[in-house]
Amino acid sequence: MKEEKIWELIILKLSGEASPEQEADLEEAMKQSPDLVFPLGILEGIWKSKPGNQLPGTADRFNRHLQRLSNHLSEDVLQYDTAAPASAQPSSRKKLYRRVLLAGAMAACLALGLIMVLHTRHRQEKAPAAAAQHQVYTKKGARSTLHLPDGTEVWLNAGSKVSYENNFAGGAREVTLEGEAFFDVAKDPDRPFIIHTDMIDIRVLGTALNVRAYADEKATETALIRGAVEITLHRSPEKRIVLRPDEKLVVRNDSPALTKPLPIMTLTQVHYLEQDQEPAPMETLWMKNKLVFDDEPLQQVALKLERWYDVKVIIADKALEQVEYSGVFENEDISQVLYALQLTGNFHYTIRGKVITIGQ
Amino acid sequence: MKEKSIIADLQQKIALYEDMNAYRALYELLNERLFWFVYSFVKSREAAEEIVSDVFIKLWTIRNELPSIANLQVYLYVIAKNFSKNYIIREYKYPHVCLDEIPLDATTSVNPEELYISAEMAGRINHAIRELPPQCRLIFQMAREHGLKHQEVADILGISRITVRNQLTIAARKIAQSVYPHLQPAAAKQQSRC
Repeated sequence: MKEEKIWELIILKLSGEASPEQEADLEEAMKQSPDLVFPLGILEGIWKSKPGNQLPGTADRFNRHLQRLSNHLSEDVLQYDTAAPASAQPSSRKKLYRRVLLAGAMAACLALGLIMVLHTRHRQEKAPAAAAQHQVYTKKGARSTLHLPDGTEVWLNAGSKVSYENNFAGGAREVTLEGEAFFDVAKDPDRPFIIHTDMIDIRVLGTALNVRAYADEKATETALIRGAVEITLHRSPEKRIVLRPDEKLVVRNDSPALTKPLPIMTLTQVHYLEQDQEPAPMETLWMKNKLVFDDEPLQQVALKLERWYDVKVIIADKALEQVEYSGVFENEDISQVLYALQLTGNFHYTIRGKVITIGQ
Repeated sequence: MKEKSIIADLQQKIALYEDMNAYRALYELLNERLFWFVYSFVKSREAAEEIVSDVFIKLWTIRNELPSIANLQVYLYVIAKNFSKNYIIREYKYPHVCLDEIPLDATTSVNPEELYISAEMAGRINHAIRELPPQCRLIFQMAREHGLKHQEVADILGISRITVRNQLTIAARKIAQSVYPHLQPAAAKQQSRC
């Protein structure tokens, strides 16, 4: 056999395109030219080895791509927030926090050196079990934890409600959430854990995640801390979104008719607050008794204050509603928080009993 | 074969359910290959990334027509090639796609540890791969790394299947020769064909 023919046969074999006859021919040729055994072996090794040229950062590239895709589409379905998490995007954001934290500290001092009282709120009320349904809810100003029958731990933020079937009798573990809760879901591959909210269903397999689904807020947020979840939107059930750790999905609560140029959902990153100790996800700081505003408009801040302190907040001037605030507060009473926010934003407030009015 | 069915499965999910996860999975599977393929033409990493992104935007906009595409991978390569051509025309103002001087970093290299060979020998192999004429090298990479069939490479590049096979044969011979110099040097006519 001509030597050239051997190279052709080896190429056909390596490409997986050789016929059985050609493979047999190659075997035969190799026997006749033992010299070629070594180079052919090397060639086979090269062919099968992994390419050494790999492109790093596929995830980043995909994010950039989705950004371009969403810019390109008129019917923006999904938008990617490519902004790096707080840790990677230092100055401006950090400075803002420092300013607000400083303001918070100042407010605390000004409050005539009041002794910091730890407000532990444990007003948990259980409704009588309706049929086979369990309901646990927290009032405004209260937070609570509960253990579900399967070992899942749930932290319930203020003004929230979790209901579930007695002992998860069915095949799946299903809970319904109104409000905000952090779930540390017990692993059980045979029984998926499903969280139902007004806007979305979240399917979970052994995971820690924070879900925020207050009916009076503009969006439903799912922040995944670890594990994996699959989310379906009630509005378009054919779309399924899988979150990876440290990703957060924000789904708008208003009807699609109103969402003109805005996407109905946004995929973004969980924000970490860099503290003295280890960084903690902003989305879960409420569990540690910290009230957090992460670039949130005053409108949203007001809702949070209402739930956290069980007060009524009235924004008298519409122009103030969209001004954004960031800050972390711990063990401060409502007047201290308002004082701190007032330092960074131009507004005045009055407190009359449980009613707070914010105006210019 | 297995990869083919994965691609076909993702293709179906994207077409039927607008499944973003399938879309993402397909991107993750193919974006590197397409990147290096495009990079061979446009010789700029930024442009290559953008073109690959454009290819996947195109894929999303035609998702309803996906079921009628028989070989999605080849289809995407062809779009990538056309987009590269458009880019070059736009950028250099002349309609000539030239494969000369494929950037060296677009060429894969061989890892000695993976093949249990000496670093010196790996160096000779890498040198031989780099010395392959550009089209020959591109075809070698497409067939080897991207797992494309000869006919698929031929369809993408618009050449005949026989040419693909000949080019691969030449590549094989040159690489083998680099590790085993006693082999006769390739005949002159073969070299000119490459």
